[in-house]
Amino acid sequence: MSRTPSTPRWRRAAAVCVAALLSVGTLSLGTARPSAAEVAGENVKVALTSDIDTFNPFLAILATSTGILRFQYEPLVAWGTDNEPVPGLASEWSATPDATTWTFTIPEDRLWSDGQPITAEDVVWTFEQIQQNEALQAANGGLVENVEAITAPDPQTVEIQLASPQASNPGAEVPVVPKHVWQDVDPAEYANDTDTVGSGPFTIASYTSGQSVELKANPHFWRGAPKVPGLTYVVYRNTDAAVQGLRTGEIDVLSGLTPAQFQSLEGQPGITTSSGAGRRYTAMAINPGALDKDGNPLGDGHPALQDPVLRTAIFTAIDKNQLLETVLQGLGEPGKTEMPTVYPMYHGFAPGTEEVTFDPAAANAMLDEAGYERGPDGIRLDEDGEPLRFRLMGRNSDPTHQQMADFIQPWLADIGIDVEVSMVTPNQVNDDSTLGRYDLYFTGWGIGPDPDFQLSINTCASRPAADGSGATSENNWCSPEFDELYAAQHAELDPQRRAELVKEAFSVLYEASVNNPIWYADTLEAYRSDRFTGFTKQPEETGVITGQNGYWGLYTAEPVATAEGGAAAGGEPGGLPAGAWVGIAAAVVVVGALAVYLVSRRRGAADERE
Amino acid sequence: MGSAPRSGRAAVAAQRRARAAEVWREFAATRSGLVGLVLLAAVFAVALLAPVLVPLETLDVTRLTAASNEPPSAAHLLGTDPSGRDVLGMLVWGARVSLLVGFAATAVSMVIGTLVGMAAGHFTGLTQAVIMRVVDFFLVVPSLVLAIVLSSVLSRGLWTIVIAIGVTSWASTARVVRSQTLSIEARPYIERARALGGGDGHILGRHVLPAVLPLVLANTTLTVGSAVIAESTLSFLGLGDPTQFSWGSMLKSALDTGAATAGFWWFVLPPGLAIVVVVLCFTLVGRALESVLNPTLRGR
Repeated sequence: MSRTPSTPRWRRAAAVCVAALLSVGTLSLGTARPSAAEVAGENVKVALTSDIDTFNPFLAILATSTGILRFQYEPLVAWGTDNEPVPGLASEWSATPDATTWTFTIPEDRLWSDGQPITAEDVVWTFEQIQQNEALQAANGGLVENVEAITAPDPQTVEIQLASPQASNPGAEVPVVPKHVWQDVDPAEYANDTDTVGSGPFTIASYTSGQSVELKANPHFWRGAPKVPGLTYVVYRNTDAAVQGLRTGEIDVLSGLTPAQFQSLEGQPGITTSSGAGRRYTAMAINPGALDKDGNPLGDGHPALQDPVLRTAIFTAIDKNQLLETVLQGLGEPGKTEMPTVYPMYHGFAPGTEEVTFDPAAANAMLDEAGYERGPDGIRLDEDGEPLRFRLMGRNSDPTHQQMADFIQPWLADIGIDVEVSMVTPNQVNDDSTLGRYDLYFTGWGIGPDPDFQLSINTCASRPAADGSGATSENNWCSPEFDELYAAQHAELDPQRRAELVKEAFSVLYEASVNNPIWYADTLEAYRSDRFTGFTKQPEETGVITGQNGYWGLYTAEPVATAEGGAAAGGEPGGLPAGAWVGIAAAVVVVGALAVYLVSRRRGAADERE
Repeated sequence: MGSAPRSGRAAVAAQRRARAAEVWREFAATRSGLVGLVLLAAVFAVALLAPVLVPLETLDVTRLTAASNEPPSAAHLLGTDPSGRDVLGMLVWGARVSLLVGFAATAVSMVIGTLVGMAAGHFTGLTQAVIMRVVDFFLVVPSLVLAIVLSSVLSRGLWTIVIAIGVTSWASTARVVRSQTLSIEARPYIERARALGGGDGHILGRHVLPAVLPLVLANTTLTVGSAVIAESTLSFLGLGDPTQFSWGSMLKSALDTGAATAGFWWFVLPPGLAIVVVVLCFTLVGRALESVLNPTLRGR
């Protein structure tokens, strides 16, 4: 029944606070860093901040897994440092003038990482497995759809017969696996994550789910073995932790920084930041009245949005430059068509395309002219007298979506349109957008060097069935004019002419005002330049180190020479400004005191109860 | 005959007034409770006056002139957020959401908890067994997980959060109310009422409810604190209403944009400290009230 005497409690509280302060102090000092001499013979350690589905190349879809698999398996034709086709397994290739038969030559010196020769048999086996086994089509089924027959006239030659003419190289993108390993296992079940055999610069040695992936250098890689013994991907649950890891030297390369994190790493000793032009566009899409593949209405889009004038007015009321400046801190390029700036051949408008630029007065005038009268509350009414009140959907996993919505809501209010914002899980965005259950939403696609796929998901044939199954369509939009341009570029072998057709097709899509790219965000990366150097970017001048259409970035990495590194290492440990430490210390004191108080309080109450 | 009940009722009313005055005296004697109450009153005043103190237009990102992530200055006492909005202004508006959700969710929780608790104490046999199993179920289900599931299944919005928190946090109240109900119903005056023909409704409504209410009140103040934390947690996990400022969503935005790493402490600490202070105040007031009102804690 006795109460706890009060003196020990306060002594305890003081002790806790002192201990907390001490621990804060050690945190700021504890930035141990291995010296450059130790670097030679060490793996490049890369932060892994997003999920891995599987390392089975037939099934892997997520960007992280396919990105790692690019180190492991070469396709017949790879993408070079400027996203141009370069030799992969094949040293040369040619197409017949009608673009229906493609022939590839595999030189005799190509070896798997276990020393076995790479032959045409491996390529034929891989393609045929995808074609014959539906379970293996998850990742690359679309890439072999047009392949009628694939044969190996001799061990060094592959011949691909296409059902219809195709300008995009059928040998690109499909990872070719070693037949002598895969024919003895069930390819649909094989995890492929331990002591694997591959053809690229690194092969996966081990994988611990949720912890790390180890890749080791392939001594038989035909371009020459990498200068580092391997790569280690270390899982971090959030990028803040990964930034601390980079500061303390736990990792060497980190991608996916936010602008604030990026700017805080700029100028830190031993760390180099890189803002690479991204290959992803971010857009706002408007539901143009989604239809399924049979032409029946799909979903619940606002009927007023079927009017292209209204859609164009909405895009006219959005200031892309302001969004880019504030939300991305200017680290990106303003959006035009869906092809980002890293593909200069396909980027930009076709001649005669009218770009929609920010002009609220013009947007208001367009809506006045189209007969959308303002109601008593200032919100315009459609022809049925219903207010123009639209839902705007974004992902709660992407902070820029909410930040953009904060701007778009008032901008659209200025032109008499009411917006209701909801941020939901990425899965729900996927489901709702597939089924047309949205009015406006933020979307975005990572674009490969060949525009064929991105165009194909905008054709009438790409629209899904009524239950959302079947093909994937970007916006369930359909235009015969676009389909004609898609077909024309699909079969056009002349690169110049094809590029023109591609731009034209994307411009038609742009002018339909269903999907208006806001920006192409830079990929923000940082690496320990006191430990590793020589990272080749893609594209070489302005591009990215990780997440490439290829293996260049980490393949060309090399340890910093001892002499060179001695000067670079050992700078001031990076850390927060003094003000931040004072603030954190204050918080720790408050929280510590509170905890002690509550604990003792509870004990007091319990004592009383007994 | 006519005046007797009235004077009886008047006597009861006078007795209750006297009791309330006594409670206040005892409460006012607890220094920590008083401090909590004063601070809470201040937070309430700020929340109510938010539209006057910080007009909503000043937080409209399209009309701002401040830069992103400005450190504290005379113009912006707590600096600006990644969109250039005044952090202090967001904090003031966030108080509204936190308190509104805190109280509304607690109201839901208290109504369910009181009704179920009284029923569980009053009825016997199978009814009681069934009710108690339901209570047990909600006691052992991790309420945060249930709340996350509820708020992702229901449509997004403030009231969803209120319901998600309210529906998952009533079980402990129900148990406290039940035990109090059992002890009240064992008293002779309940037996007398029953003998005079009082039905279930009469006994519960006229006798048990007034007797358990003080306990519910003490429990309420404690629950508001945890509801405020639950709201912040759900908003922090991205399940809140993104169009409303709340302390949880400020913390989410700070984490998502990497404010902590970049050293923008003025965007990380204030919402966190605000949560701590408000929850602490509710706990102080609740503990003080409890020690005054809870019969098992009295007479020390």
